[in-house]
Amino acid sequence: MRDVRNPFRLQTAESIDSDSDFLRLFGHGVLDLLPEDALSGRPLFIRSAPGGGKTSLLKLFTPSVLQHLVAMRGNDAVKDLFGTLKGLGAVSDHDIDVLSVMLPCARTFPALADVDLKPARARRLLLALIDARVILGALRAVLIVRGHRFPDDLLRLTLAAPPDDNVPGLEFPCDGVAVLRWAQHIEQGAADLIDTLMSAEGAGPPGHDALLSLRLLDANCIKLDGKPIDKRWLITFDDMQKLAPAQRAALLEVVVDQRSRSTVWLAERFEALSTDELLAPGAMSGRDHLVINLEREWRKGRFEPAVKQIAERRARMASEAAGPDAPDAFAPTIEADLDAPVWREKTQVALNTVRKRVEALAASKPQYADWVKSRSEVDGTLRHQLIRWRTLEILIARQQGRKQIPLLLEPLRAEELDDKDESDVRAAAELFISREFGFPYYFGLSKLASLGSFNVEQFIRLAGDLFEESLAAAVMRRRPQLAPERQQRILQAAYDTRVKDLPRRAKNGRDVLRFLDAVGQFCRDATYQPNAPYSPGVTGIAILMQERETLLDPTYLAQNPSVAAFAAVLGTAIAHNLLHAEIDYKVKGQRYMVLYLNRLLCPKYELPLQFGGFREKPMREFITWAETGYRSAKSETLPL
Amino acid sequence: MSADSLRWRDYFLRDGDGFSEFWKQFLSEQKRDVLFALGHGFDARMCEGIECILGLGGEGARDVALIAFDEGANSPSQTYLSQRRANGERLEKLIQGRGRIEQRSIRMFSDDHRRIGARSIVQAFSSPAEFSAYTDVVVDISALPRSLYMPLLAKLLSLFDLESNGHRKRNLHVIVSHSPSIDSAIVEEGLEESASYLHGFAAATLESESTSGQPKVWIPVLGKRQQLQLERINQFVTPDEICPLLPSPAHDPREGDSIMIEYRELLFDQLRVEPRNIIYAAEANPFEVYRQLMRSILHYDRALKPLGGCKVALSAMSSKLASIGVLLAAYELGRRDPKVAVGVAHVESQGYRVEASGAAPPTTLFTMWLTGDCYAA
Repeated sequence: MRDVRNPFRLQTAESIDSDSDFLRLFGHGVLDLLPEDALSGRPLFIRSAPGGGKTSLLKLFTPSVLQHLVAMRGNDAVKDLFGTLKGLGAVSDHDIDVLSVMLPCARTFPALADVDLKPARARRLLLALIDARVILGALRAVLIVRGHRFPDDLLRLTLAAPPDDNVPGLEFPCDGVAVLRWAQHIEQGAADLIDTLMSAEGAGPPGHDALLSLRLLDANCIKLDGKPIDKRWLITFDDMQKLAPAQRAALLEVVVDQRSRSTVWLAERFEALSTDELLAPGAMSGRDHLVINLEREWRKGRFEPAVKQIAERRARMASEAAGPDAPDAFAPTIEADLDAPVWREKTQVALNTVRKRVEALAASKPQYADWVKSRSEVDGTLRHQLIRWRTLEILIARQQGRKQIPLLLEPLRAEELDDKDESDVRAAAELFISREFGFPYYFGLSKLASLGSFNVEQFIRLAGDLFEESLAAAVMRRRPQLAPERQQRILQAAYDTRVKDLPRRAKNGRDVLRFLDAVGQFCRDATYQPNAPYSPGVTGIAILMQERETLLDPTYLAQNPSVAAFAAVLGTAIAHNLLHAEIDYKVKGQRYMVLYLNRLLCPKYELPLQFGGFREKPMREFITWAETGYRSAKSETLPL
Repeated sequence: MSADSLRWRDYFLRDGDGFSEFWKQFLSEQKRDVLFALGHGFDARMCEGIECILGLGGEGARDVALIAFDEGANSPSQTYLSQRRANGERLEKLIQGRGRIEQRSIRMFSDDHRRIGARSIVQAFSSPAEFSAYTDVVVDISALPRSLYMPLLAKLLSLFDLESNGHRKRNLHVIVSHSPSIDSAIVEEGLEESASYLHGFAAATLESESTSGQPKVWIPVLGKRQQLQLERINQFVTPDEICPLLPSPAHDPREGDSIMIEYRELLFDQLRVEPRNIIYAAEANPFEVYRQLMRSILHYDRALKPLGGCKVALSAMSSKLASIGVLLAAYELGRRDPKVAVGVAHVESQGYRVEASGAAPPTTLFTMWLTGDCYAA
């Protein structure tokens, strides 16, 4: 591989062309999201937004990558990865234990759905094409792991007949060359059917009704130099959402029905507004198949350490390519502290302002005297004191807003203040201070990880933007460390490059942008209230699950064009990972679909980066936002 | 195989005054029955070509197959319905008393919302018999989207080639009203999330798993403001080698440089394109684009013969004129013996938005004769 100036620009697994570089850049944190028995034979659905890391995960298990890993197992860069894969049973000390065949569903299958065929024939042809590709992939995998060449060494392979089955067009026993010819025949037949400009009537291979390839692999029918291959099999389908609905249903049905010993992984985009499951009747999650939603798993505190590791690996690669001038670690280039001397004067001014304001307020309300006194005694850095005073201001606003103000305005004790002074209020105070006094808020590794919005590709892009600047500084022989305010400007600009051009990027993009803007403005209004009622802030909305059902009902949508248009807007926003959907969220005795803004939008609306703050509303209100935009109803928000 | 055996090594192309001169002479030579295939779009250039040709006289039928396509209720193109209607009325006036207009409605989406426009247009012109009354078919691509005119032209070429085997020589012309400034003011909106191969070439063969060992070469014919399309096509094609084609010579001598600057990060930082892979072809000559593409592809195919040859993905991301070069190369390669697996990768869009511009910029009419009498042996 040629030297890569900024390895953060290699965003997708496909753009990394050597297996050893792929391994050096792979962050193995994603493997912690897999269940221990991920290779045990149960079908596993892997779902995430685009850029969530599904393809990289599937690529990791391909034979050539695993073979490289075994060869590099002593290398520090892959030691942990090797250990984790060993724990999953994918590799042992000197060999690969699982052979995988990776099938990208975007290739040929969707085009096959567009050929005007009867449904039964289309299904038979689909399964035949999958079988041809799986069997061919299996032969290739066997040759690769044994150090042979594909297709040159195909004659060393033989296929025995699977028990109780035959594969149409293949005569058993046969050698690898005969299998290659058979697969070519099926593929060419399907290709001619797809490509023809004339009528496709009667053309193409006949196809069949089951996934015979899985039975063949289960029965250990492949032999190399006469010896059976004693390995587990893993068949992975990538980008399942690109199949036509009927194709997806057919594939799921046979995979779940057949209960194969070979493991099948099905990676697809999570779509909160599509039918939840299209599995065969009777299939139950847990026993018959497993579902992993990567975003949901990342949220369990696993994302930040995982992406930090990814960033460090990429920075290290850059320093190897660019030499000693380039930074060899990522974190030191962006870690910064607002307690630094350069911020002291600005912090002092802000502290004086806030303190004066609180003291003036308390002067006319003696019940807060103890609270103010306790704040005056707070030690620590200027910034710490500033945050504590601003927290007090919020708590006083909360106290003032209480509906039942005690008739006797008894003094409030300092202990009560300590009880109320929780981390979420301090977080809101920090946010309010940043907005009022112009302190940078979006900087540093933790905030960068949050801005990644549980999406590895998004994190890498943002980190790449920052690292580009560090690289440029290194070229100019300047310090590669980025000041917090510069980081914030770069991260804010990411909105312009990745969201603003939505009308071009996505279907109904203009409507989606209008709706997102409405949600952003609403969240800002809800966040910036003097008493910070949803501290640290609101970054999402929610609709009842019953209302969500209407968005999935074609009959209802046909009768209600405005709801249909809203469903399209939401569908696009979720598909493009601009809204994070969390379905079936239980709160106040109701079930909701919560829609959080992608964190990339938070800087635009000056919102905090924590999840958890959302406001539920009737869907008709959101439809109005989508149609005409948001109009602020609140007068009591903090000034801009 | 040498460049001498290229089907369109010798070609016929006229533009500007040459357009009118050619059509005047061509129509006056003998009675010609002409079928115009036009897209019914909002582009103000829709009727320019037919208006010019009808104004040049000549005897014979002057019929129109008007291709109507609906990109959906949410398409930004719906904003320009009145312009589209005006174009239809203008066409009716032009053709009044000269011939008839037959509308061909193209279904753009299947019941499960999949894009099927390319297949629909191929089916809409299914039989050679429907052209039997005409000596000449003129396809005006000025107001047609790429995803429709490329499969349509591939289908017509294929039908007329079959006829040629029976010693009939029906003429197929392509005309376009070319204006780089109007083209750059019309912006695609609502791009599909992923690219796909256009129907009508040998794309499914290209995706074959049994030949996955063959290197895949991707040649995007570059124009401006196509970053998203480039990213999505690259993700879809996953090429082993990328050879961008830049316009040079071009109306703006710095056009190629501007394009390189626009895509610098994507092409060089992310995709790591070798600068020596860049191909150049004249902006206003589709046959030159075709020749450069063929030369490069045949060179790769020859060099990679020991690996079984190569697979080729082409993308037309520039002007409509240049896209004809892509079409010709893809059509020819997919029908050679032995066939080269070639696909035209493309990102569909939901519609178009016209960015405001001042006075109407000048346009130039081009005519290309693709098959028929002038290629007679």
